[in-house]
Amino acid sequence: MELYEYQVKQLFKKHGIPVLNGEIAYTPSEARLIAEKINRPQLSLKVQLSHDCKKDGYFLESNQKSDPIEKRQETGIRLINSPQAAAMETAEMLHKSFTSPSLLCPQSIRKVYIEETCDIQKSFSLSLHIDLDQQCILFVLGISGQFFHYSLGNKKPNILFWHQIVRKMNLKKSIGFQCVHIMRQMYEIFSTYSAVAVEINPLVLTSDDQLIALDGRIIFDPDTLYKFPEISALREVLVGYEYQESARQFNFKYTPYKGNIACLTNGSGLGTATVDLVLAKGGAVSCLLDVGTEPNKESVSKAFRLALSEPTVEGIFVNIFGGVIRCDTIAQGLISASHEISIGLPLVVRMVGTNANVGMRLLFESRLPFIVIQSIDEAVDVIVKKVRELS
Amino acid sequence: MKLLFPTKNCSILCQGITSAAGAIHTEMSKAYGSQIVAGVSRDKGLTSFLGIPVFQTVKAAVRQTKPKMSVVFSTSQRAYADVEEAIKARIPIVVCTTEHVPFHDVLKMKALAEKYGVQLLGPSSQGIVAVDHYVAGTMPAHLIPKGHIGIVSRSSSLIYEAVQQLSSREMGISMCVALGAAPILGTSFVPVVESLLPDPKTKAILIIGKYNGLFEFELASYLKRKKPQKPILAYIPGRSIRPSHARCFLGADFLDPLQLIQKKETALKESGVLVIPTIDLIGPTLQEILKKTTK
Repeated sequence: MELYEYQVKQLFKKHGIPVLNGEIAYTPSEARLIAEKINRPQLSLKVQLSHDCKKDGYFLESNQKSDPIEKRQETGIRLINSPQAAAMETAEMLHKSFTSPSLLCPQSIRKVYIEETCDIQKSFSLSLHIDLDQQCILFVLGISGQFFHYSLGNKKPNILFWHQIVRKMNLKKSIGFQCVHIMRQMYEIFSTYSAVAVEINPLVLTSDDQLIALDGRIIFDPDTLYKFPEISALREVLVGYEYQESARQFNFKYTPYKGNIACLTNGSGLGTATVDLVLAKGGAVSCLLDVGTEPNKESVSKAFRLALSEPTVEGIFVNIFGGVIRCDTIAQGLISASHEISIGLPLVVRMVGTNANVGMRLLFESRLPFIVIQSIDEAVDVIVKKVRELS
Repeated sequence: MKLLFPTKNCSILCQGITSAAGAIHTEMSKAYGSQIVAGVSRDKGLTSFLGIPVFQTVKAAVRQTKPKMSVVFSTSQRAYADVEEAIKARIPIVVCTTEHVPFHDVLKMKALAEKYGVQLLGPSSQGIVAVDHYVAGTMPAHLIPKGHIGIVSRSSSLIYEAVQQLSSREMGISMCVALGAAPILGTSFVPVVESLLPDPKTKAILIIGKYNGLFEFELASYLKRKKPQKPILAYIPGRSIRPSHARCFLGADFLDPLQLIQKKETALKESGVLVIPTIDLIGPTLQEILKKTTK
């Protein structure tokens, strides 16, 4: 889970990492008040969205007649120099569509962060994260596009560790001490919240020799969030991510693709392999619903309904392996869900493992239009062919 | 010192024997014929469960029964404490079946296992099945027929897929090891392949990889040095995964998952491994390989 920039900065401030003065505005009048309060000749307005899509993101300009056209120049950061301008610009930014390559679909802007500005002498990027490739905690220092990796090992890093990084940054002695403090505080946030990553990007050196975190990112481990209710309370659902959210609530995983066949499987490996196979056979997957290694009747029927509710879906492929969970339980879930929604779509079910025969008999006896096939190869061929015939 | 995974019967300890999952799987494992010598439970005063002696601590269990392997069934909150107890009691192999163990806890477990020279399998591992000998973990062993293929997998669900494809072609399995579904793991492919290579029952090895992590490269360089006689087949799922599905950190060598998979496949091919592009080819390809080796 990730937070918005302003929330990250509040956490930074609480832990003694220097940030610029700023506040969040939801309306133009709030923006004006905040600008008056900060009272500086120049201020910056920053669009607030999770994911670091501010840099490569842009506004979608609405043309009265046609669909929104893409306008690339306008980024999510603007500079202003009066409270009036703050109100005006905020009014223009709010509720406009903003998009980025890392976003699933365009987002409407709901909040704008108003912040002081500063003169930049030098800029760096710092990151402390759990590296899944090297399977260790890694500190990464970025200086003008070049990255230096430092592995932390298993112990808490000592002062020498931090000093070797500062030496690389080539800072004056007094600033070096500031920097060590910042890095130590990063580590403190990282360890107190059992975070996956803490980033300061960029960390800038101002013309009056101050180090300031200009932007930051913290990624939390979803499996430890129960310990930090104050963090999990900040979770917001973005537009276009509602399916992921409801999937999370019912304990399954939803991954969107851009196609027309929905795949429902149990286990992430089987899911990935199924999507691979559908693509290899010339099909296009709309989404993958992974009900996990031990699904129950409810989660299967919820996932199945979610698959059916997607407008782009033209066919469904269910690939289930019964281990500890029995196939007849899964069949019951599928049947109860499809009784409620009428299915006019091709529906191929592949079922193997514990009680597969009972499950297949149940599907057959339900007189619902399930096509049951036992070989994965054949099953995928059939669903791809059926969907192609439809379109 | 390298620890090998036993391919024959071995003594097993069950931590969390009275938990819901622990009770089911221990019972199934015992019925299969595994040699379960002890259980650990925090229930006060319990001395026996399912006919297995139960102890309050791992230390007490180890002193009396000297197990070769411990299987940990616990909640994600308690997983670290339980694994730590097993490692500190110096049980040679610890299998952690718990899912959703926090990243920081996994790193600590891994470091501790390395320090004590313990082989940690998992977390999120479904365990080990040595067909006709023992089951350690949560795999449904009754579905796995006896045969000559050794399977090592980073995905638990694809083990069953492979087993199904093999059994429908009248082939069987000698040993199955699930490395675990978590992103950070105690055991990579190499120690398992090392255990399978000298095993006379195993005539071919199937490797099921994953789109992330670097275990496949480690295996490739190991095989290049070792030059094994046994045929090895590998499948890496994830060609369909888009860059936006994968998480990227600052300074990471930003690679498309597809590019990474292709790199892994090239590395494996160079060390003599046969690589297949899709899951449905596992059965047919292994059938062909076995035909050639028996000739």
